[in-house]
Formats: sequence, structure tokens, C-alpha cells
Amino acid sequence: MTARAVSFELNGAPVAALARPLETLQSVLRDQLGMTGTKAGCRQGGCGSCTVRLDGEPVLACLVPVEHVEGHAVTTIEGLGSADALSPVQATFHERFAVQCGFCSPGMITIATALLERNPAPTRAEIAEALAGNVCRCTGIVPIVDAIEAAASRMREREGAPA
Amino acid sequence: MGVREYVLATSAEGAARLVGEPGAALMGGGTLLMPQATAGTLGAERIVGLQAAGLDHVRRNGATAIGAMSPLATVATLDDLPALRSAARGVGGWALRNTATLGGNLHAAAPYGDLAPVLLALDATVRLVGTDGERTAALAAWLTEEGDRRPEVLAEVVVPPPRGLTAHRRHARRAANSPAVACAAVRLVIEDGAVAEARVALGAVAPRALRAAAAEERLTGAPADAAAIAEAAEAAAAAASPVDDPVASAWYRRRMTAICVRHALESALGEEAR
Repeated sequence: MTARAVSFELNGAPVAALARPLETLQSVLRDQLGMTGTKAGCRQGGCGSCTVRLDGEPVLACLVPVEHVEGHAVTTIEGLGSADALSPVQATFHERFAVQCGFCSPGMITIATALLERNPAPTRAEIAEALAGNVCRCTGIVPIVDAIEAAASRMREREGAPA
Repeated sequence: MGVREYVLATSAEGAARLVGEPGAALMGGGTLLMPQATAGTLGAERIVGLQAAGLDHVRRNGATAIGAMSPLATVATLDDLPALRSAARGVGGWALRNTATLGGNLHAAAPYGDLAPVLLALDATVRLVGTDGERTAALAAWLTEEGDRRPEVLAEVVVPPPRGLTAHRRHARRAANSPAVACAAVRLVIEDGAVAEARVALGAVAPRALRAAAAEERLTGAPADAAAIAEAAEAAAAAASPVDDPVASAWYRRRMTAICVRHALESALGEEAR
């Protein structure tokens, strides 16, 4: 077995890692690069807790061999905002109690952010469709949909507000 | 046995050459094989990846040629093939569809593999690339070729311009991100008030997707009235060979086969479909 060096852009900065053949992006992010916001849930593509963005598109990091991200750009929850400067979706998740245990939150916030970039005014049905691959066992999902609706509305207000 | 090597082929022909070697297996987007690789249960030492093989494309020339490495997210945007679009949208969630591929879906064991029934109803063909050239086969024939396939790579699926009315119906335990209990795709060509050509294809209710010949025969040559639809739906259910599994019992899968076929036929005919 030969380890392979893989280089890519992570949250805007270049990174490199040594990976086993078919090592998952999830494993490299968490265990080598310290990005533990990317959760390891089912490890088979069923729960959405490892959702990250690859060149802007949401993907499941447990299903992506790290070889596939060579030369590409990966964004994790750590690339969205910080404790001092939450992204709009992070802020409304906090305000609307859309987080309980928090395990699904990075994936939920990641896919919601991707949705709002494509569709700034989604219906509740469109939000639910976007979240279909992300499982939450605590909140009953409704507060999550509420939070995403609130974030959409806040982002539209900011967009429309004079500079 | 752990994976010792992952090689990214740069062409379908190159992949066919690499996968001909002992202990090698092909991988598309990885949604089926990566969980096995992570769990250490993948029965191959050398994985040949198609990610860089140039098979992610959609070309229209009357027919629609879809590269085997096209993500299901792309297939889900093919508005001129609404039944195929519907089947692609039913698979997993958004993030999964960004990496799951058309070719991988056609290799998925039941109850996965939602796209094959629609492609069967559309009379799709497959283009296969081997080490000594390429061949084209009807999807229906390729799906029933027995294991021990020659080293070749599914490069492209070609969908002829659909004739007639098509529809797809799928039943699962949940509205999304849930394997099918049963799914059905139909295509009807109506001439002078009677069915001139019928396709009824099933998924998730047999080891491989299949066409229900008895249902097609029942529909052909007569008006598609309520009696014909009901009898064709029952004939399709009889053609299924479902198994009990954690998703559904064989009995339930067979009953839902009839209902999916009936709803698909009603939808294709523009009647009220529930």
C-alpha cells in the first residue's frame, strides 16, 4: 500500500495530506487537518452529517475519496463563520433553537448555505427538499426549516439595504 | 482485504485495460463502493476510478447520449426526459446526487438502481468500451448478461427520442432519501384509440430491473381502459420476484408493484393519478 500526497484548497488556504488509497475526505479533514466540524455519522452516505462543499457543490465527505479533491476547493463549516462572526445561517440556527445536540448542524448549515446561494427565497417545500439527505434526531426538523427561512429573509434584507 | 491501490484511468479504454488485471474493480462516483472501502469489506485490491476518464457529458443529436460518469444531479436536470429526471431526483439527497453517477446506478443491486426501469421503458442502449474496441447493446440485453463480464467499461447510455407517453412512479417508506419499495416506468404509444406499443418496466422488486412482458402484452392492441390498466398492473406484479428485506416484505413489494404500475399508466394517460 502506498500513501499518496494530495493537495487542495481548504477554506481558502492551500493544504496537503498523505492519504491511504481511497481514504475518505472526511477522514483526512478530521484526523489530519483538524476540521472536526465535519462529523462522521453513518459513514455510508445516509445521514448528511459530513456534508461539505467541493467547488461550491455540496457532497458527502464520507463518500468522496480524497484523491478526487486534488487541485479542487473544499469548504467546511469552519470556513463559513467564527464564534465572533457567525454567518447568517449560523446566527439564525442559534436564535431559532435549530441546534440541540449539534451533531447534524454543520451538515445542515452547509447545505442550507448552498441552497440560499442558488435560491435566495426558497419555499418551505424547497428547503425540505434540499435537506432531504440530512438527518436530525433532536429538533423534529421544523426549527431548522424556520431558521433557514429566517436566514433567507435576513440575507435578502441585507442585499436590498443601502451600503 | 484492504485496498492497496487506487488508479484514476484517463480514458474508458485505459480503464478497461486496467480492470482486466486480477484483483481489480471499477469505481464511478464511489457512493456504492466507498462505504465498503471504509469498512474494509471491498473484495478488490486495486480500484480503477473513472472520475478522470472523460465520461461526464450529455450530448443531444436527436437521441440523448449521457456519459456514464454524469452525476445524478445532472440527470435530474434533463427536462426533455421527465421520467428519467423524476427517477434521478428520487435517489438519496442533493449531496449524494452530486457524486452518484448514472453508470454506477445501473450497476446497483436491488432495491437501489432506480434509473434502469425508466431507461428500459425508453428503449435505451448502452455503449461499452473494451480493450479490443467498443460495442453497443440494448440495455435490456446488457442487464441480463450473466456475471463474469469481459473487461469492459460502460461508457455511455443513449436514449432515443421518446415516442408516446411516459411516466415513472416510485414508492418508498419516506418521501426522500429512502430506498424504493417498488418503482415502475411505463411508455405507451397510442394510435387510433388503441395501444400500439407498450413498455412496462419494474425496479427494486427483482435482482435486476426488468420489463414485464405479460403486462405489455395485455396493454397492446386494445384501448388503455380501466380494465386493461388493472389487469396489466396485476400481470406486472406477477412478473416481480421480490425478497423480504429490512425495507419491505416481499408481499408488500409485490402489492406496491401493481400500484406503481397502475399510477404510472394513469399518469402517462393524463388521468387523475394519486
